[in-house]
Parts: sequence; structure tokens; C-alpha cells
Amino acid sequence: MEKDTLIQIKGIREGLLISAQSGSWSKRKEEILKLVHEKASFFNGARVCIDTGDTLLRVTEITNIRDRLSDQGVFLWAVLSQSEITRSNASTLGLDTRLPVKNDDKEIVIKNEVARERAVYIHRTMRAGSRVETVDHLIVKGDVNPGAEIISAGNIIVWGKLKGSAVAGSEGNNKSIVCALELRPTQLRIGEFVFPPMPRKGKIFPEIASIINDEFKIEIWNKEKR
Amino acid sequence: MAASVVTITSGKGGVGKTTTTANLAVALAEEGFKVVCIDGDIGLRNLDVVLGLENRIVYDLVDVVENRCRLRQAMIRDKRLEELYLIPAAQTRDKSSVSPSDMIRICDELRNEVDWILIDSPAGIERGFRNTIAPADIILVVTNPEVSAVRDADRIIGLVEAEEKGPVKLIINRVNPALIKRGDMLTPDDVVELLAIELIGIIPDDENVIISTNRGQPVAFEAKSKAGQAFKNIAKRLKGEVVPFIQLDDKGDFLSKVAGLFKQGGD
Repeated sequence: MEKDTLIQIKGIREGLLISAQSGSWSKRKEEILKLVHEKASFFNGARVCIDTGDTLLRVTEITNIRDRLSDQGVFLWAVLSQSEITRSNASTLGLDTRLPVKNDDKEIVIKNEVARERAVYIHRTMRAGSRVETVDHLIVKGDVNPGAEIISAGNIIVWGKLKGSAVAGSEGNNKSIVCALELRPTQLRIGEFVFPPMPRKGKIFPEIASIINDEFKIEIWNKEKR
Repeated sequence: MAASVVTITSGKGGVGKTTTTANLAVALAEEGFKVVCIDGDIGLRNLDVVLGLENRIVYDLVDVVENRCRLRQAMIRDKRLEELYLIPAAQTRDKSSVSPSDMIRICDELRNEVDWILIDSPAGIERGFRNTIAPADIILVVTNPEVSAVRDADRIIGLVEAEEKGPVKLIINRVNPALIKRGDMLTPDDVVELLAIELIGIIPDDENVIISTNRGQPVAFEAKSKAGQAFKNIAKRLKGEVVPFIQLDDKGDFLSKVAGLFKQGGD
């Protein structure tokens, strides 16, 4: 790739891949729109995917470029990014965040190997239809509503009510745990185990779910001193 | 005064978006405001039927977008109220005939002429929904006290929040005190607890709503109807008045009583 241009375009099986990884976002955005405008006949009706590098994009920034592209007859279907936040923002808008896996190894975001040392932090209520998947630990400050999905290869901590679906140790780690201030998930999985439905009893305590000796275990947090 | 654009949406179909839009429009017009309602459900229009204006449609929203008529010409004036207008949806086209920027343009054109613009959103989360959300200043999410409707409302609120639109306010429609008392229906408190947005209205289940919908005469015209009163209260809250929520039961504050007795699984 040449260094002096902000954006690169290439044809991929799914449409066009616009790679815009360096420079300020507003500059890159203008470059993309300018190019689309100049080559309107080429771009009209195109399906494009934008690789934003490691830039952190807010939802409004994504909707802005989506809408401006759509005004030019260009359909934005995916946003690729190394930033977890950008990806999560893009997926809330219903955009794809990865290309279908095939031999094109260059576009696939490589997860780092010390994954389990890191955590993704989400500071909002996860509503129905929203989904977060990470190879890192996952911390949610807020509720996870029914119909939302949270998936982590490590542990999950919810500072709020966990009522949606949760998968901890998604890559097969049965030692992972899930804890929440109110643990009443629609479905709970840890590693290879799917928890049986949990009937709700009276008072609500913060709880921790884990698998111990191949058995489901749900304990009240701080029952005794830990 | 520049108009506020209020979009009425729900996600799930059949929870009462159109009825709510029609009744709020009537209630606001009765307060003396100039109100325009826009039917955003292109291809499945029915706000005109609920308002009883079906037989007066000449031009529709798509005609305006495609410049076959001026905006004024598509505004049907209600004969019962001086300042209530409807811009109907096209019946023979689909959602893609209108874009979000068309909706913004039309609302901007109306803003200086009227006080309130109410937009009736279609069910679903696709193009039609996006069209109606784009120009909104205030979004009213209508739900029923049913698990499936609440789930869809939650999804809608998530999408609206992701677009950084708002404020988003909640209307709980078809609340049945008898069912709540027996523990067979989610209470308004249960719904508000899950959705965690501001409540702006609770509409009791009322068979008069169905009767009046069929007649094209919204219940907000009827002084005695409980549902009509509830819609009028929402109109008052929209304009900034503080109105206590109506009692659905004679025996005092049943909402808090029931909420304490009965906590159902939020799922």
C-alpha cells in the first residue's frame, strides 16, 4: 500500500472494500465521499465495506457516513475495525463487522494471544437485539435485557441485571465464571456446559455461576467472607 | 413556535401505534394546537381510516416526495377540528419510495407553519422505521404489557439510542387492571423497570377504542371514555404539564400495591 494516499479501494467478492486507515477521520471521510462523488457512475449501486483501522468511531459518525453514502446510491454494509468499540457501534446499527472468512487473510483482524489478560468494558444497558462478542473478559455496567447476547472467551461480570443470554469461556474454557448483581439469564453457558433453566426464588442476591467438577454451581456472592 | 416532531413507534405490530397517533392528534388539536399527522406506513396505510378521512384522499406522501403536488395539497383538513391535518401514506407503493432525507425535508417545511407534527411509524425496524425516526425530536414508544411487545420495544429503544435520537418516552397501552390483579399481566412498573425510560402514559384496555376506530371517530373526542382521557393526559404531558397518572382501579393506588405483591420473571 502506498503511504501518501489516505484511502485505497479494492474489489472483493462481496463488493468494494475501502481501506481508510490513517489520517484524521473527518479527512478520510471527505476523501471517500469525494471519490464516490467523482466516480459516481462507478460507485452507484455499489455495496461497500470500510476498513477504519484502529480509529474509534462513534455511532453518529458511522450513521453520518452511511447516510451520506446512501444519498449517493452507495450501500454501506460493513465496517471493519480493530477497535472493539467501533465494531460494537457498527453492529448496533446492524452493519457487519467482518468479512466472511475465506483465503483473504489480510482483512481478518488477528486477535492477540494474551487475550485473557484484557477486558472489554461496556457502560450501558444492553437492549434486546444487541450483541457483544469478545475473546477478552467482558464487564457490563448496566443491565443485559432479555434478547441481548453477551459472549466472552473469558469471564463475564455484569454490574446490573443479567436477563439476556450469556456465554462465558466461549472457546471451551470451562473454568470461566459469570457473575451478576441479579443473575437470571434467559440462557447461560460456560464453556461446553449449558445451564438448566434457573427458577427464581425470593430475595435477589449477587451471584456467581461456575462449573465445578463438571457440575453447575451458583453461589451467592459474599455469603461468607471470600 | 417551531413545531416539535413526535414519532410514534413500537417495533411489534398491533400494539396501538396508529390509534395512539390519531388520538394524540385529536387531543392536541382540541388543546388549540395546529397539528399535522403523517402516516409513515407506506403500502399499509390506515391512519386515514382511524381518523375517518379515508374518502377524502387525493394526494399522498409519495406524491409530495415525487413532486406531483405541493405539500399543502396533500394535507387533508379534518372537518371536526379546525387545525387538524393528515398527510396520508400511499397505498400502492412501498417503503423505499421515501427516504429519511425526504422525511426531514418535509418536516422542516412544516415546522414553521404548525405546532405539532405526529408521525405514525410502521411496525418493524427496516426502512419505514428509519424514515419515521429521522426527523423526530421526540420518540414515543408504544408497548402492551406483554412479554413479546416489551421485547420489541426494548430493541426499538436500543436502535433509537444508537442513532442518538430522543428523548424516548414510553406509552403502555391496553393495560387491564383485572388481569393485573390476578397476576396474569405485567404491571406498568414491571415494564418500566425493564425498559428504563420515562413513562408518559398508561392507556387502559377499553373496548370503546375498537368501536371508535371502526367508526373513524377517535376516543379522544369522547369526554367519558377512560382511554380517551388517558390520551388527553399524554397530550398535556407532551406540552409540559404535570398530570398525575389516572387510577385504573377504584381502590386506591393499585399499581404500587400490585407491584409489591407480584414480581413476575422479566422474561
